[in-house]
Amino acid sequence: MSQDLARALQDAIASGLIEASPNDTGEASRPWPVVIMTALMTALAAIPLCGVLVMLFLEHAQGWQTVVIGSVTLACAIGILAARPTALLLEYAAAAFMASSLILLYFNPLHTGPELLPGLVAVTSSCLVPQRWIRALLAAAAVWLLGEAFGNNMQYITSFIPWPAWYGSCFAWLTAHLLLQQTERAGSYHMADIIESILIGSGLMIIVMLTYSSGPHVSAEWFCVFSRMDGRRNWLGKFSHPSSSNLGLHCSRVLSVVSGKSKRVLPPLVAICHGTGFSTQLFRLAAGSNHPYGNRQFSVLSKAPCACVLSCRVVDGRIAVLQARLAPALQSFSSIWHRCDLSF
Amino acid sequence: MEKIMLSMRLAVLELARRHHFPANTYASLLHSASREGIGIATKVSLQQAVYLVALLFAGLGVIFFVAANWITENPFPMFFGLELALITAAVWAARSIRRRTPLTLLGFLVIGALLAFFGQHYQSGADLWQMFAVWAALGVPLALAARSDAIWCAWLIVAMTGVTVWWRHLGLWQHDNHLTGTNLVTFALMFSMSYALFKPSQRYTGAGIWSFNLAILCSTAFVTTAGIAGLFHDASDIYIAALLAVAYATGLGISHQLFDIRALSICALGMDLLIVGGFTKMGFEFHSLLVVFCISALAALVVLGITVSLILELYRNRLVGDKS
Repeated sequence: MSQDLARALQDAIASGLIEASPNDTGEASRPWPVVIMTALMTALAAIPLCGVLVMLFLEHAQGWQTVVIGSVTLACAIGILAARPTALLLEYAAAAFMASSLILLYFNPLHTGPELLPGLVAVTSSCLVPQRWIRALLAAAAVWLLGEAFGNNMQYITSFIPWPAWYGSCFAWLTAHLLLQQTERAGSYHMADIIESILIGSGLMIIVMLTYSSGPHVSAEWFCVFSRMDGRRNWLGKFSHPSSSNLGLHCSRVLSVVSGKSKRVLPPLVAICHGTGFSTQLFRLAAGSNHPYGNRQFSVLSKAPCACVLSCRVVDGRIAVLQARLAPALQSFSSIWHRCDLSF
Repeated sequence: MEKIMLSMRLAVLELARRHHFPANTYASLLHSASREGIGIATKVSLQQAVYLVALLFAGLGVIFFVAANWITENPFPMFFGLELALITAAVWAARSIRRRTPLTLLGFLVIGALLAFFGQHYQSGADLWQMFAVWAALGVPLALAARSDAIWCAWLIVAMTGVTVWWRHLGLWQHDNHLTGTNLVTFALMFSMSYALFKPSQRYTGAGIWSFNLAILCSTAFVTTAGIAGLFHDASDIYIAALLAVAYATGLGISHQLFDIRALSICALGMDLLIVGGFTKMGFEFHSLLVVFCISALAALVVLGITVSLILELYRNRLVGDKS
């Protein structure tokens, strides 16, 4: 086990909290490089498996047939995984069949967007399987699918609030932390175990997707909503950059309050992700412009390091003052920044 | 050897579940277990990381600036600016211990911008790989002086790009059975360099686990991609060379002194992908898509099962060995 955990156990034994040091922490201590390798190979196996299922049962499929076959496959896979102890090969086969059934469920005839059904199914499945690594991977897949479903395809719901998906996921993630703390206090460790492994996968995916979708447009869409309501102009869009920064900072503070012990790590982590995401977005713009490197050279040269150093202020803890007292100044500065970018 | 867990909290929860800890015991254990790691991450690493990212972007910004402005009548201002930036970064890095790594990184990137501008302006006729080779060679003293994992990571990316471009330049990717040996030597050299530079000589180079794993990741990605591309372009000699090289790297990774679970997992993944690719190619001989799908899926699952079992077994043995 890790050095920190070993030291903690020694402390606990010395202070009489527990009687003897356990030797192993079971499946929880499976190394993460092995989990990632397994996930990649399982995904690789899922693609031909999906092909096999289609060729055997669905060559001329229509309507709900893919959903039916996908559901049956999924139920079988969950059944195999639930019957423990499972042989390693069987466990991987079941995981690959789960992945291929999610692919099949993607091809559903629902009008709400193809991602919604497999997303919901992935959430449910992640609660049902006992293997922690599969739970984490399913949760990551579920967050991505649901985020895409709510972000891109459900225009009739999200026409007033575009891009709410990742913020919504973030809020759900925070709420789940409260739930986790409650279950831990109640001594229901099995439930806490399920929640924690789901939170690992979903948290990672949320950070990845927030970083991917951050930058100039992370909150521009929010302001476009108000502009659309206004019906005439997009003047609020000018505040997209400062709002983006502030939103990131506020999120980090909320995270620090809610997630107890992570108080000292999460704010800087989120700030770094935010700064890095902002810079990544600038790079994406640079790469995608008609004249590569030409139009956005100053953005990358000047803004990206500034964004990172600003994030570093958060690490120092000095931004708290800046945020409380100089938020309007920051907003004005960022607006000018945004305009400068247009002139370049 | 430290055990790399998926989550500390999960491990504590597992213990609590097995031994029926009361809630306060669990809370104390969790608090105690997560205390040390958080402190280290907050105080030292994160500040450094942010400044590093900031100056990384500044350096890349310089490169973009040069790329956008290299058609110029008078190159003097550009040369002057780049050399000034390089000297400033180097002198500042020598004087400031706290910001040494980020500033060295900036200097390293400015060297690349300077070489690129020189090559573009004077049209020396050199091949692209030569620029990367010179850049990597000039970066070695900087990396050795900085003794930083981050600088070695940047150096590695440049060096590996150079090797890849050189490989393409020599035409080794083309189908020619006489080149099997050359390919094998090239691939094996990449892995050997990764291990030699970063694992046993860490004391002298200052390289850390990130650069070592990046070296293995880059080598494996390159060799595996080349092998699979060769396989599906009727250049089976490249495939065989790649398979042998990855097997050699996996063998090195298993040895006691060079053992690293991350590197071993990366090499094993590369080998698995090559084996599955081979089986898939074999499946095409049957002229049935269903057979291809069945063979590739089965191969992926079987190979994965065997690999993971072996790695976990090896890992547990190492842990037991270290404890005893």
